[in-house]
Amino acid sequence: MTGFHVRRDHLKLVAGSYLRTSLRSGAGVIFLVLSMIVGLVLAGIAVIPIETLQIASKNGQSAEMAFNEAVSKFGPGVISAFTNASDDTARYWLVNQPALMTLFLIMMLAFLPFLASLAGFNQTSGDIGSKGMRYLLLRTERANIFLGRLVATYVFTLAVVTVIFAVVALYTVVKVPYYGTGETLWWLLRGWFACAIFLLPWVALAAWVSTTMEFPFLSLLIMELGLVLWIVIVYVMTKNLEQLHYAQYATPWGFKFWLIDPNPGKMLGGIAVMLGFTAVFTWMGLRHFDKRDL
Amino acid sequence: MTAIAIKNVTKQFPRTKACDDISFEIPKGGIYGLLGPNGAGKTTLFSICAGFLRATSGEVHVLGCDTRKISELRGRLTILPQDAKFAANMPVIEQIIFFSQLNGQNRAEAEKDAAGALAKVGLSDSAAASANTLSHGMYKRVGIAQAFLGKPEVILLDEPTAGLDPASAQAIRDLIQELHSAGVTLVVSSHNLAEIQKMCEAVAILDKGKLVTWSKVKDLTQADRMQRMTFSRDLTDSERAAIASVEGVRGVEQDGPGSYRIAMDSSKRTIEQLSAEIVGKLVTTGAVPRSVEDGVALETKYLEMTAGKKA
Repeated sequence: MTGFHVRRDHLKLVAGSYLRTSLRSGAGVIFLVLSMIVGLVLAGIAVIPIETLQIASKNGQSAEMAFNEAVSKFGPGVISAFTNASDDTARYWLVNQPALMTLFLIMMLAFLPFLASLAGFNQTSGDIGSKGMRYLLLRTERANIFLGRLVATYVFTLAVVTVIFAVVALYTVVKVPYYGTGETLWWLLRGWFACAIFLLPWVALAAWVSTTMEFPFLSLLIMELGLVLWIVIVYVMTKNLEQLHYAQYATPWGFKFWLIDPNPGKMLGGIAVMLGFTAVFTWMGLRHFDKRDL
Repeated sequence: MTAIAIKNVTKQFPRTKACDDISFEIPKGGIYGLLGPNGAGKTTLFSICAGFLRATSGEVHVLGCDTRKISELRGRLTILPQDAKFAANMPVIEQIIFFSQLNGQNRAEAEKDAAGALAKVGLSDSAAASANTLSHGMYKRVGIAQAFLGKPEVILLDEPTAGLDPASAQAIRDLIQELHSAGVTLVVSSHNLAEIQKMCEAVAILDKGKLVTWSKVKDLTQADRMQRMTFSRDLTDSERAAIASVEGVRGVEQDGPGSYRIAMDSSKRTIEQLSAEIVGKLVTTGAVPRSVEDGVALETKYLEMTAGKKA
């Protein structure tokens, strides 16, 4: 280990150049479009059943009653499928907060690791294989290349998430009149913050995996398949093997809903855990990147 | 003063040892060659010097800095790597500006430096082109342009003229000479041995990852004590005797049809004086040399040292 010499001006230059290169290569645009589609489909899944019931309600009960009935019908099912939340927490999410937005947030948090790995799988692997970083290596420390690209990936992914949240916020304010605008925007803002924090460890993990591969496709495959496998394992453990369910906390996945928990202590704990995982993954990636042949 | 100190460098890849305990020191301010057959370890050694590859053991110091802390050399060491890639879809000028900024220049200085570097290699008209639209030769010249950015003190050039047309190759050789005149240390790897012989003061020859020799070119080619003359026919015994009779000639040896190596003692008279007298004596017999070379060709020596492997 030669020590990591990080320079702010180099980080900025590397991140800016990486962003421009990614966008020009088309990969960034494909990621943007794909993420928008998936994000909006998730939003649609949350909203469409409600709209259907609203239309049906025109024949009988009031729209608001039908809406509340729909939320009480679909909400607990979604929460039970995606989370292990206590009754109090579920009630807080569905009753105290705009329930539709809660369902959207829960699905977004479950989807974010896939989005992060899609954004980050090629941070370094493609250039390792093609020797595309060699012109940089004489001019800046490896740490600046690794961290600059990680920052660029995070900023870009967060920008995509922000656009998805903005669209959902606009849609909800216009189309779902049963929540106060301030209440909706506040809960969405908190959800956006949770997503911003939850993205960090996954982008860092993608960066680490990317340093270990010379082929971007392999890096993507390992990240996505690894995620699916881990989620299935966690699901099986949680549902069937009570004594092993703590294993889910071996990755950030097990802590994701802490970030929108009503208990401020738990929420802060969730943030600390995410930052901790981010630090570990980043350090592991940096260490590997610093030692390997490029 | 040492420009590059290579100390016991070994590089073990999973299946092969590319460099095997290589040590030598390259002084400041000259042009030096790195030769060897394909797979000898030249590119690996360059890559270790530039910090692309980590040596399994040993270390390299460039201008006194350990290359594992490469950023301490920022702008002082540059390289034309053999197989590095530029970003495919970015204009080459943008990429060169980016490199200049990493060298520590502000945007305005970097733009000026980048434009100058591209002009040096004759690519001003292609500055806005994306790297993936350039021909092989133009792509290579962009690589050379980035190696000449700023004010480097040591430049490593891995096959700088390979794949270039004769005019471009000559332009690159002229640039190398220009930088040499400015005091820059250049290390050139090339399969063109005549080019290396002409440009370099000393060469390192690698074979199978080992250093075979690190010598001055004139010592290898014996340029200061041998001339090679080629005639249109073999010389008669009397013509060979005439050469041998010149004071300072120590022996005449035929090494091919019409080709002779003439060993000389240059302590009292210069090689040029000895050659002039030999030619003068032979002209009267009708044996006029078609060519006269100082020493043996580097290629001949190289082939002897690497058991006839192609450079």
